[in-house]
Amino acid sequence: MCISKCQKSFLVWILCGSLILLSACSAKPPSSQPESQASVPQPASTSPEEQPAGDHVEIEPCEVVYWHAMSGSRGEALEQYVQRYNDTVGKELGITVTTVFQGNEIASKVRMASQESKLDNMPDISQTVGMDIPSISKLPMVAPAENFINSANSKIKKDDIYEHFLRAFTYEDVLVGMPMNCSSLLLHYNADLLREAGLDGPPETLAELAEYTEKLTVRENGKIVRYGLTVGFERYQLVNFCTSQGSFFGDNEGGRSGPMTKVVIDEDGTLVKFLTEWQKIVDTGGLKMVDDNINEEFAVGITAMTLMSSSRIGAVKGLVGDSFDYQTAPLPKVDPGDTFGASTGGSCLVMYDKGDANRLAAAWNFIEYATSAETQMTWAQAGYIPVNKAAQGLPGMIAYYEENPQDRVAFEQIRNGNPLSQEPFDNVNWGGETFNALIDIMQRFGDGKMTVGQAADEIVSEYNQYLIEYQRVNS
Amino acid sequence: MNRKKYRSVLYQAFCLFVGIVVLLPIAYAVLISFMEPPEILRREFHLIPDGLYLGNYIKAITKTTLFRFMYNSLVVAGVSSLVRVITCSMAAFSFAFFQYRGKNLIFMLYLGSMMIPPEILILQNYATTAKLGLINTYPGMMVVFLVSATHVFILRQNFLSYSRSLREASAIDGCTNFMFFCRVLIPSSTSALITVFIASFVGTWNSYVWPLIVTNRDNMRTVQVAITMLNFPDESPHGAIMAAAVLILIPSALVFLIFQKKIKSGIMAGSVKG
Repeated sequence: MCISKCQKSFLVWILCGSLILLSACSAKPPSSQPESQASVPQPASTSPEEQPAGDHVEIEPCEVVYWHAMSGSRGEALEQYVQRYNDTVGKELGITVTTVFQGNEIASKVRMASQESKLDNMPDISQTVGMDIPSISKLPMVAPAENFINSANSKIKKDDIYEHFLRAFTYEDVLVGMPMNCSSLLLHYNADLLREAGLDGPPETLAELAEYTEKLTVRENGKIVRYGLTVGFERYQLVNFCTSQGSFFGDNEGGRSGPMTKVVIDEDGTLVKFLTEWQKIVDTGGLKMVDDNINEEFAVGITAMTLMSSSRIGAVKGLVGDSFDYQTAPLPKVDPGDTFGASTGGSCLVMYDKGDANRLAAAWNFIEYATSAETQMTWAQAGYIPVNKAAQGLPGMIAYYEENPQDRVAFEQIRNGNPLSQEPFDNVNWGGETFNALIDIMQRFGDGKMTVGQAADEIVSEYNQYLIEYQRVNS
Repeated sequence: MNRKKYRSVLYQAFCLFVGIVVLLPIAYAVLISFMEPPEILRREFHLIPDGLYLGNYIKAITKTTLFRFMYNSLVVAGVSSLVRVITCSMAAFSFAFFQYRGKNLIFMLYLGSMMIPPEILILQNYATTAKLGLINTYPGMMVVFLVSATHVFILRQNFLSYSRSLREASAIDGCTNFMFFCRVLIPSSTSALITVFIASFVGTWNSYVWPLIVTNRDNMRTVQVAITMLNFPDESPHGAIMAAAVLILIPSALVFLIFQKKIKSGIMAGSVKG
């Protein structure tokens, strides 16, 4: 009798606990779009056309919160130009810009904060990488830069900014964020070693890069003591070598006119073409594929050449010092006839309307300052390409490029390239899935364990699989 | 006898080897923190710095408000660890010494919660913390660290080793549950409680994601964020990062050194014998 009573009560407890767990698990997860518009404070207006476009003549004193991911020397440079704003333009208008370092979690934090009923924990401006633009642009409180830059009173116009950078942060024909931190992929090389090997100038194509790699690789007792080329091959490099041939990389113009659902690098032949040329470099035996510490390996002479972002120039210069003649060159072409050039990478400044038109106008005022020619000139010296056309004509910029020709190469590569050469808006990259898959595939290809066809098939297959899954979950 | 001695020596040598292997990376980090940048990049392997270069420490302290971050971490880790010891010991006391309906089910739910990865809960925890108005506050940073199912389990197992006679004897002497908990159980469980405190302190001190997510002001950040602020993916600030890591390691190492004697000397005093 006692046992059956105990069993019954135990069963009742189990049932109650299961019901509680099921009800908790079935609770609708918070979505990026609020169910009830009334539960979320709406911006001053709900349609892009009606949103305040920075036409405030008088901005009242307020604080502007700016979330960023800049650390190290870049973080210092950012603090400097923000402080200059606060001491000059900001002081006159009573605007104080407060910076908050958020690391690489900015987009996640913005999405989390946007789901609260109050928007107090949202920033006014956030630094946003290009890849996050499609998802961030769908948040109801985003105030696209398109509405402000087209305003009659705006101090910055689209014509002031290079088309390449505008396109980099435009989604579905709307400029979402103002370009700020832009860079491109370059060939970094030890000019002394090239001269020693009797090589005249940097390689211009991948075929030449293969010849250079072979000549610059040094072996002692059958062991390589100096590699001709070291590359941390990731999505970044793959995208550049495909888009430089004129590919969008993915459908819907690489995810810019609509969500990217598949890669097109197999259909347009750019992937196979690139891998075929890259095979020549692999066959030299002088290619080293690494994950990190490329700056250091290049600086101490473990490698003669490397492919890295132009944003690393400052760090490499600091490491190299006067030990050798450090130079940069445009990204080698896959085919000599390629004209598109390297793609534009980096991040932009996105504004958020928290229902305070004055704060929004103040945020735009700061962005006008940040993207002005003078500020871009000093910001370029922190390792980024100046986005404002007028910066090139400033005496300070001219003098800087004369003393630092390595930085000028990055700027000229973008200026001379095609604005359609862009990194794709493939949302899956930063999740780690495609990132790790590509590194693994290229490592195996670099080790000679895969043919061109096998590597191409696997890259396309992995990429498309993740894109399909992403679209299935987030459509 | 010789065989026993031989085995003992072998065992000691093995333990020494494991200790060196574990300590070597930390020692190397300390040595790098005193090297100048060109020295760090030397191709030939060398351990001992040429001189005592303090520039890395100066950079680590001046480029970030490191001491403010350490203060924040100290408050969060210290207070949350203390509260965790209290909450976990009281929960363990309930599980170990009381009999009531549903006790086993509740304990199973505790254990079940250990299988849930913390990353899954971040979004909901953030939403709850924000609704409570705890963003950018110390309570907001501590709230998820105030209790741990793992430590409830550890303390419960420790309390179960106590004889029931001890409880009965104290009850006969007029000891209430609370008095037994405070005057008998806690004093004789110092080793277990300190172990929980140390584990909690080190774990909370090293937490990064949650403090970063619930704070939107630089002056509320914790020490792990300071490391990130010194590092930029495209740069090579190894010396400064190692210097910051060494400074950050000191408080948690001190906590362990101070309390380790208590762990070793923890004995069940005043317990019923036989």
